[in-house]
Amino acid sequence: MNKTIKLALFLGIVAAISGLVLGIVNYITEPVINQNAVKAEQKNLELMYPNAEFKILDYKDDDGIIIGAYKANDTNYIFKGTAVGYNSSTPIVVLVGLNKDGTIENMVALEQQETNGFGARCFEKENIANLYLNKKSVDEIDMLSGATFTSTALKTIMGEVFEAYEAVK
Amino acid sequence: MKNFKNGFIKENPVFCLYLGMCSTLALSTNLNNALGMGLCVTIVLIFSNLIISLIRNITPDEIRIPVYIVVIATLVSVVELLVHAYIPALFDALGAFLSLIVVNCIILGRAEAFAKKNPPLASIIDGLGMGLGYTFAIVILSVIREFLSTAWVSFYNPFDMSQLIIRIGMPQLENYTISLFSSSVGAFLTFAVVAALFALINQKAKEGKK
Amino acid sequence: MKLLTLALSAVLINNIVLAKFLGVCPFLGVSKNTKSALGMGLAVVFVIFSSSMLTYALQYLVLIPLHIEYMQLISFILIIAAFVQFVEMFMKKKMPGLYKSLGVYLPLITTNCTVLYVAQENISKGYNFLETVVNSIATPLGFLLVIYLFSCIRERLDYAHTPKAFKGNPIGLVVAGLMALAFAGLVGIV
Repeated sequence: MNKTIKLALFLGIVAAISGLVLGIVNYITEPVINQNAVKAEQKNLELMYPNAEFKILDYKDDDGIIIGAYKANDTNYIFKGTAVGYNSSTPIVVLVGLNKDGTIENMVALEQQETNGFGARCFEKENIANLYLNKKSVDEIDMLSGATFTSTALKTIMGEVFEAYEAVK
Repeated sequence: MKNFKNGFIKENPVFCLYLGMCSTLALSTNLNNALGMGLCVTIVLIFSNLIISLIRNITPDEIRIPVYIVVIATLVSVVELLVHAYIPALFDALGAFLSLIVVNCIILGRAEAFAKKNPPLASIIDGLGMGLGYTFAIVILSVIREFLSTAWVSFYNPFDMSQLIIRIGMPQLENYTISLFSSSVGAFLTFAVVAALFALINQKAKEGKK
Repeated sequence: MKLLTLALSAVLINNIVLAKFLGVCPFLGVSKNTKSALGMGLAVVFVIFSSSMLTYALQYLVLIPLHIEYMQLISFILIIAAFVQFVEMFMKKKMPGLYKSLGVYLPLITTNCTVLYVAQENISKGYNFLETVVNSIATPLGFLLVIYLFSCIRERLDYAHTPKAFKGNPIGLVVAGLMALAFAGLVGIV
C-alpha cells in the first residue's frame, strides 16, 4: 500500500510541476495571442470604428453563432456573428456594433453570397438602416419581404448579439 | 556522433521505422509547413529526451509511461502556446497536428528506447539526430510534392507570410503541373516511392558489407 | 439532416485515414489479415466513442468552469491513457473471450492519434452533445471501413509480384493512395 501512495505522490508532483509550467507560459502568451486575434480582425474592425483601440472579449457562444467579441475604445461593443441564409454553401458573416447601452449602431457584412435582388437586399445601405440600426432588442427587428431566409438568419444573429451584449456588458 | 548520423538514413524514423507518419503525410504539402513542423518536433524531442534522461534515476519503473506522457504533453502544450503567440501563421497552417505531436510515436519511442537509460548529453544528441531525421524526411516529401504540384518550391518568412524569401522552380513546366500531388493521394504515393528508395539504399548497403 | 451530413462526411469524405492522414500507423501495422483488422477497427470504435464522451464532459464540466483550457491537451491524453488501461484490465478479468479478440489491440490505441484528434475536434469545432455523439461514432466507423477494405486488398497483395524495394509497407502505401483516390470521388454526395 505504501508503495502505491509513493507512486501516486510522484505522479502528482510531476503533474503539479507541469501544471505550474503551463500556467506560467499561458500567463505570458495569452495577451499576445489575444492581441494577434485582434490584429487579424483589425482591418474589419476598422470598418466599424475607424482608429479606435480594440480589445478582445472573453465570450463563448454555445450555438456557435457569435464567433468573435471585441470592445472598441472601452465604450462600444463589436460582435462577429455567422448563420446560414439562403445560400447554404457560404454562411453569412457580419460584424455588429453596439453602443454603450446596447443599441445597434452599425452593421457590416464580411461574407455573404445571398441571391441578388432577394436576400442580398438585406445588405443594402437603406435596408440596414431601416431594419437593424437603432434597435435595442430582437423583437424590434422586422423581416424583409422576399428575403425570408436571409432576414431570418440575420435576426438569429441579432438575437445572439443582444444575448452576448447582456453577458459581457 | 554515430547516433546522430543513424537518424538520417539507416534508422530514419520516418522512412525506415515508419514512425510519425501521420504528420509527415499531412504536412508535407509545402516547404513552410514541413520546416515548421520539423522544427517543433525537434524541439519537443530534444527537451523531452533531456528531461526524461534527467529524471531517469528517480522515476519509478511502474509509472514511467504516464510520467513520460505528462512530460511530453507539457512540452507540446508549451510549444503550442508559444507558436500560437509568436508565429500565428504557422499555428494556423499546422492546425491540429501541432497538439498531435503528443502521440507522435517518435517521441515516446525515443524516450523509451534511449533517454531512459542514457545520460542527458547523449540523450540531447539522440533527440537532435532523430528530430533532424524527421525534419529531413518531411522536407524531402514536401519539396517533391510542392514541385510536382506547382513547378515551384518557395519559402516564405514564417513571421510574415506575404514576404517571400526564396523561390526556385522551372517556370517552363508551369503548364504541366500535377495538382494531384498536393492532395492526399499524392502524399501516399510520394511517401511510398521515397520509402522504397530508402529500403533500396539500405539493402545495397547491407549487401556491400557482405 | 445536419447530423446525417455530418456522419456521412466523417465516414466517407473526410475519412480520418485517407483524407486526414490520422491513424496511419495502425492502418499499416495491423492490416496484414482481415481478422485482426476487424478487431482493431472495432476496438478503435469503442475507445474513441467512450473517451470522447469522457473528454467532452471533462472540457465542459471541469476545464472551462475553472478557466484552465490550456491544460486540455495534458488532461485529455492522461484520461485517454488511463481509460484504455482500465478497459484492458477490466476486459482481461471479466470478459476473457472479448479480450482475446479485441483486448490485444487496446494498448496500441493509446498512441493512435485518432483518439486524441476526435476528442479535440469535438471541442474545437464547437459541436453540441448530439453532434459530438454522431461525430465520435462516425469517425472511427470510417477507420473501421478503410482498414477492413485495406486488409482485404493486402491479403491478396501477398501473392503479387512486387519489386523487392516496394515489398511490405511501400506497396501498402501505394494501395492506400489509390484508395484515397477512390474515396476522393465520393466528395459530391454531401
